[in-house]
Amino acid sequence: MRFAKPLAKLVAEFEKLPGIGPKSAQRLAFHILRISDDQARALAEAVLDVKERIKTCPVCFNFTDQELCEICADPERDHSLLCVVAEPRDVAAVEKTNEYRGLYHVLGGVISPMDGIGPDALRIQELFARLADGTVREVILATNPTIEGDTTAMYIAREIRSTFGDNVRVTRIAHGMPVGSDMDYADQATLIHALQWRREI
Amino acid sequence: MKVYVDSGIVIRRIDLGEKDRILTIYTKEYGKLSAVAKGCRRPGSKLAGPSEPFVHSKMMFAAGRDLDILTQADVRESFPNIRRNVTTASYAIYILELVDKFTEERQPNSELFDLLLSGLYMLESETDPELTTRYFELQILKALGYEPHFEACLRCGNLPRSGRIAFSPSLGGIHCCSCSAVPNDAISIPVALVSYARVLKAVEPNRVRDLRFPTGARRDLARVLKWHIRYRLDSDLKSVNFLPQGHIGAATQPRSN
Ligand SMILES: [Zn+2]
Ligand SMILES: [Zn+2]
Repeated sequence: MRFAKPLAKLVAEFEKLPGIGPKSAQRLAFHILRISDDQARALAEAVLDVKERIKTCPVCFNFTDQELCEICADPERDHSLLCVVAEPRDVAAVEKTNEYRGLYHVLGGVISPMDGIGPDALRIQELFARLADGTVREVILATNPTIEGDTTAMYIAREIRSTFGDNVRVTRIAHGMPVGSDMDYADQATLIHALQWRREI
Repeated sequence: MKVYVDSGIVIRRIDLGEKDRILTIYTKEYGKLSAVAKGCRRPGSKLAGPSEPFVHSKMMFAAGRDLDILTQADVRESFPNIRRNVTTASYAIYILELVDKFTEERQPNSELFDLLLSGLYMLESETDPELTTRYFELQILKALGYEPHFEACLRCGNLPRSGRIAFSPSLGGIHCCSCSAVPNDAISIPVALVSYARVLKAVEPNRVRDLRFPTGARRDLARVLKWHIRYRLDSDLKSVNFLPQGHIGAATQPRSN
């Protein structure tokens, strides 16, 4: 079936989204056609708004619409505890557990020799800059239990130890999750368990 | 639906959608193949562990329309020591990439499968990871018919007793530097290197741990094999820059002088 040009264009845009195949793209496009003009405008504005207003926090590199993100700006949180994650969505996964009261550091990826991604491509220097003032006493490495996540954690642990010695405790989130799964999909019980049972590496 | 079982090692994987992965697996009976591991990124998935690189499993596949599906996997060896150490993990990943780059899908080579498995076991058992990797490079080249020659000059058949000779990737071996024009891709090496290379080519895998190579021989052999492999593949390996010796000869190809 051939679509009118504007419709075909919308379908094509939806298809570019992760997890959306041709069938779902068509379904979404037809749904948009059915909704009211106001609803459609609200959706379009939300998309533009998020692109315009959401920036990365200059300290932890999580997404935020403030100068400093809410977590970094919160004096109630434990500033001596730093949880290192790969992506902003991992911050959301840990926050959902309501168990963790420290700060975060978002690396922006993981070391992946298979894809040619080395430590220089991640925000590791920025992490070390944060550790330099001595406020942080413990770093919790919460990367996924995959080969890339493990390699990243081991690399950071080694570098921290050689730079800061015993001044910074390094722990790895004790994964109750099976090897290979994404933290993003970890259920809350598993994550809470993992946060409580982190181990020294 | 056709179902088949094989012993396989995951050599590469890419995410598919939100929960799946496409695995590239080197199997004993079928050679390299691709298969989808559905739901393997979900916590609790039985396929999560078997979908990780260099994990060796007994696998069951179902033939699909586009891609085959990995339906079951029973882990035989997950190589925990390799994973525990950044250096050995980097060498293991490099070995996987070598196998991936040197093979086509569905070209059975059970000798290569055994070689890959023994390479991983050598790294797991804490055999010197650098020598293990050089050993693996020499053996995979041999198994695929790209073996580099270190016996004598490939032009005149002589081997000087001392001094320096050349290794030429395009020639596929050594050149004595005196009988004819030296190929212009030649790498200058000491004659002494050929005995180290010959030992490593001929030794049994379980004896590699007994070998002692001086730093210079390690460096020269790494360089020679890097350029020999690069010439055969006509491309760079992504993971080579992650090896402790990765910087050697990285920028430009050395010329003989
Ligand atoms: Zn922040
Ligand atoms: Zn000659």
